[in-house]
This record gives sequence, structure tokens and C-alpha cells, in this order.
Amino acid sequence: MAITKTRKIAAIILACAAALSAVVASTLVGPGLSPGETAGAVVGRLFDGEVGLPWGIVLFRVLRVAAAVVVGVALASVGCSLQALLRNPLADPYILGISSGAGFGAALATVFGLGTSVLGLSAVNVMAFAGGLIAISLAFVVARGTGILSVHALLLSGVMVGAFFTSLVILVMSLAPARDQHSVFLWLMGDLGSPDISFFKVGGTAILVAAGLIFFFLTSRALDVMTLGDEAAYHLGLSVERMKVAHLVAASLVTAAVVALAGPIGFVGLVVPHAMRRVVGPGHGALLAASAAGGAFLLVAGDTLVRVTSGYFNLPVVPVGVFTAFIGAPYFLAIMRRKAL
Amino acid sequence: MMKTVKTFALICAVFIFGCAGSPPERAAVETVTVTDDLGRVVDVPEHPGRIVSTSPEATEMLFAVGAGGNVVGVTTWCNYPPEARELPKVGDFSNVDMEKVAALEPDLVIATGHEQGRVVENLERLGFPVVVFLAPDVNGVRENIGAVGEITGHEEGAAETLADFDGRLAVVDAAVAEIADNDRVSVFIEISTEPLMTVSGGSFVADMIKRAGGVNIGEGLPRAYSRIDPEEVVRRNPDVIVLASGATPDDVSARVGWSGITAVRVGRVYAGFDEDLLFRAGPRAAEGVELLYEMFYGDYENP
Repeated sequence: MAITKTRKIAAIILACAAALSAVVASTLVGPGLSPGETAGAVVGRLFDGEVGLPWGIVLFRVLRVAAAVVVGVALASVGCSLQALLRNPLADPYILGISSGAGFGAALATVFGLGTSVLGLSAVNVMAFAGGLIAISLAFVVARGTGILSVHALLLSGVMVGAFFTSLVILVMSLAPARDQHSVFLWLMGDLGSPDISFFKVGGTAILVAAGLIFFFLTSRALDVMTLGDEAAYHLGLSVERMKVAHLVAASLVTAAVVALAGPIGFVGLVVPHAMRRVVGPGHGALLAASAAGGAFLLVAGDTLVRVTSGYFNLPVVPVGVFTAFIGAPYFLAIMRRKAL
Repeated sequence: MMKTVKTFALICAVFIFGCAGSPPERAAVETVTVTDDLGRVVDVPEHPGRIVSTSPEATEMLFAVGAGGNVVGVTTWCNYPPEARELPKVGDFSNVDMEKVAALEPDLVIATGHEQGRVVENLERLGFPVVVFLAPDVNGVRENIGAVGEITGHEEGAAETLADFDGRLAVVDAAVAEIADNDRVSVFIEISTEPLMTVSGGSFVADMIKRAGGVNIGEGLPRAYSRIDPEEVVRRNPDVIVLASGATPDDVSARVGWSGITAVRVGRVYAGFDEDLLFRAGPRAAEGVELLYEMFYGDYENP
């Protein structure tokens, strides 16, 4: 059954609507303020200029929801790009070692107590960003060798570089005091609950993610062509090598930025593109739009659930990365079993 | 050389006898029966000559009662008193090197709970008497100081330590008793920023906060050391914030939504003190209670 254009548009609109309702719901609930109090705080601020504690909570929550949107959009769209580029259904934003490199940077910053912040960015943010980029650059340089960039070589070197940096993370952790071990361990799960989240951090990441997303959209036809294989793409008139490098650079910058912000939240970048491909088909224009909305929905909904369970039921706070893995892995297995991957 | 041979023999014996399920024979000595903080009943040789401490709290207690001379091994975390730093190290908090402990031929090992369960098990299997001190609250520290004095034969030293301990607490208790319930300050103590964590009832620090007259905003959280949602901290609006996380007062006032918190508004966000005073269930815990009292009701200023 061919997927009609109408169906694609309807699916994208539906995904956007779902993401938007999740954003509204997420902004209204949380352990600090009930939905009524939240609305009251907003009304109070707008009409009476009240800026007390409740308004502070609203600001913090808006920022957290915005971070969830940014990270969700980024991971899902990078996942689309890399699954096409690497022609591999297992590809996700972390497959080429970015998360491990970022983890190493974050672990070093934590253990050496580099707490000083510049422009509201902590050492963990900066070192995670740098570590992620160093790891993927290494994978890229090795894969490229002297010849052209082969997708298989890139996957192999990426996975190996990732394994190497993972071993470095474990080395740093094994030498660290218990408290730092705990911090690094939780960072590695991916979480949006940092008290040090700031408008500068979220805004800066959002700009980078938006730029990446626009680039992915503009080159979505090229992604379609690249899924046919390097040779076919070349004969169809695409400068394959340049397109690959450009996509890798964009995907790396976007991924490193969101990992620096929230840690390596798993499965969003893997599962959302697969889920959306089943609805809107393999064309990358529609797939990117649907995935971006789907990623935002999944992460915002997940983070809301995490906040609500801890706040209202007094359960221990769970990192949102645990939730996405809990949902993502079984879903992946389910669609695999139905041979729909 | 002789010592190395003996150690080797001991380790062999441990492997041969230990694995067979019977601990190696020890010379018959007078023993004291101790029930430790895990409820374990242990026969401890009276006045042990060689003691290994794998717990910073125990190290402080041993030195405080006057048994510092019998301590032959400590952990890398045992930084107080300064003499303790010079002693041979057998590992850190959760990784204790069994061979190093065996090489020191201790008559007694004092461990802590938390993450040392495996350590305790392994040391017992090696045939060393192990006592676990893990005071759940300030009163528990008193009992442990007494027990350390009794085991090591420094009852007098323990009595002196306790007199000082009780004296300090009595002053704080009397001052706190004067404060009406409505005037008690609410307190948020941050023990980690990423993730944001605090203490709840059931933790040692929570008991110290209570003793110092503070009301812990994390009291009802599900774990002794628990994560807390940042917006929850804002909602509970603490009068005082104590930072034991490496964060600075400036970091806290820069947080989105936190500037309206009473503690931040009036500048009662404290950091830069000796955190060991708050997190060690040892003889300096009384000083920790004094420190907290100063923060809550005195004119404490950040260093």
C-alpha cells in the first residue's frame, strides 16, 4: 500500500499535535505546583506582575520542558540522518562513539571537580561536548584512512572508538571516590533534572539543533538517494563524499550539544525514526518532520512521567533515560519480530 | 623476610582452611563479646594489639580514646587526626585489599556498613574478627565510642571523649529547647548537585539537623540519601541551605527559580566548611551539630 501524501501530512500534523499537548501538559504538572497553581502563577505574573516562588517554579519547569523538546527533536532527527547515511537500522546518534567520548569528558570534569562555570556552562557541559567531538573525529579519521569514506569502516571504527572511551570512563570511575562514581553513573543514564539548567544552555543548544534540523531538511532528497548505496547515489549525480562528511559534521555537533546538556538519553534516536517510518514511509522530508515531532513527544512525555511519579507518589527520582530505554528496547524488538524494520 | 614468609603461610592457610570452611586456629586469648551496628555478635580479643580500620569514623574514634598507637592500617579516606594519614593504607571506601589487610596481621578489623558488606564477609572468611560500626544517629555514636574504649581497654579515654561530646551536645540541646516550634528554621542540605540529592529521615545527617534544631525539608523522601526534584526544593522554600556538594552560594542564586527562596534572598546559603564534621558518625559529630546550630541560629559566616 503506497502511503499517500494526505496520509503523510495528517500523520505529521498528528505528531506535532501530540508533541504540543505533551508540552502543555508537562508545563502544568510537577511536584512543585499543581496545574491550578501553575495557571494561577502564570495569570499572576501576566496581570499583576507577581514574580514570587510559584513563578520561579514555572520558569524552571518551562526551561526543563524546552530542554526535553530540544533534546528529543535533536536525537530523533540525527537518528534519521545516520540511519540513512550508514544504511543501518541499528544506527542511532551514539553509534559512532559520541556518547562514550562525552561520557569520558563528563567523568573527567566530575572527578577532577572542575566546577567553575563560564557563561552558565559547567565544566561537565563543556568537557562532554569536547569529548563527544574528539571521539567521533577519531572514528572519522581512522575510517577515512587514505581512501574514500566507507560506511562499513566508519561503523567499525565508531563502535571501537566508543568501546575504547567506555573503558576510559570505567577507568576514571574506578579511581574516583564513591560520590563522584554515583554522579558519573547517573549522568551516563541521561537525565533532564539538573538544577543548573539555564536559558543560555537551552537556548544555545536550541539554536544549534535548529540549524542542524534545517540542514537535514534541505538535504533530505540527498538522504533519500544515499540509502540506495554510494554507487547509485554517485551515478544519480550526488557528490556522495561531501554529503556524507557534511551530514556527519552536522549530526556530531547536534548530538554532542544535546549530550552535553542532558547526558546520553538512549533509544529516542533509534526507535523514533523506525516508528515514524512505518507511518510516513521512507522519504526523508516527511520522515524528518514526523521524527522531530515524535522525538519531542516521547521525551517530554517521559520526563513528565518521571517528575510526576517522584513528586506525587514520593517514589525515588528515576532518570528519563531509563524510561526511554524501558519503552524503546521492547518496541524495537516488537517491530523486529513483525519484520517491519 | 620472615614476615613475608609468615604472611605467605597465613594466606596459604586461609586458602586451605578457609575454603574448607574452618577458620585458622588462633592463639587462645581473652575475648569480649560485642554486638555491632549490623546486629552481628562478634567475639573480639580483649585489648587487641593490632587494629586495622577500614572506616574513617572508626579511625577517629580509636585515636580519640587513645588507642591510636594500636592502629596499624587505615584507608585512604582516613584523614583525621593527621597522624592517621601516615599509617599504611589497605584501600579506600569500597575497595579494601584483602592481602594488605592480611599482611598487617590484625587482631581486629573495624569496618563500616554502607558498601563494605563484601569486605566484611571476606575478612571474616580469612579468620579476622570484624566489628562493624555504623551509627544510625548521634546517640549511636556515643555507644560506639564507649564500645571502642571497652574493646581497646581505653575506658578512661572513652569517658573523656564522651564527656566532651556530651558537653557540646548539652549546650546545643539547651539552646534548641528555648526555640519555639514555629521559630525553627527549615533546612535544605545539598549533598550532590548532579543529580540533586539531599538527606531524609533515617540518615545520620538528618539526625544531626534535628539535634541542631533544624527542620529538614527532605525528611519524608523515600531514601536515606535521596534525589529531589529541583522544583520541590523551591516549593518547600527552605530558610537555610547547606551546601555539601561542591556548589557555591553564587551557583545556587544563579539557578532558575531559586532566587525567590528565603535562604537565597536573605543570604543564608552556606558552603566551604569541613564536610567531614557532618558526614562522619565519629567523635567530631558533636562539633558537626554545633556547626549546624551556628548556621541555623548563630552568626555563622562563610569562610
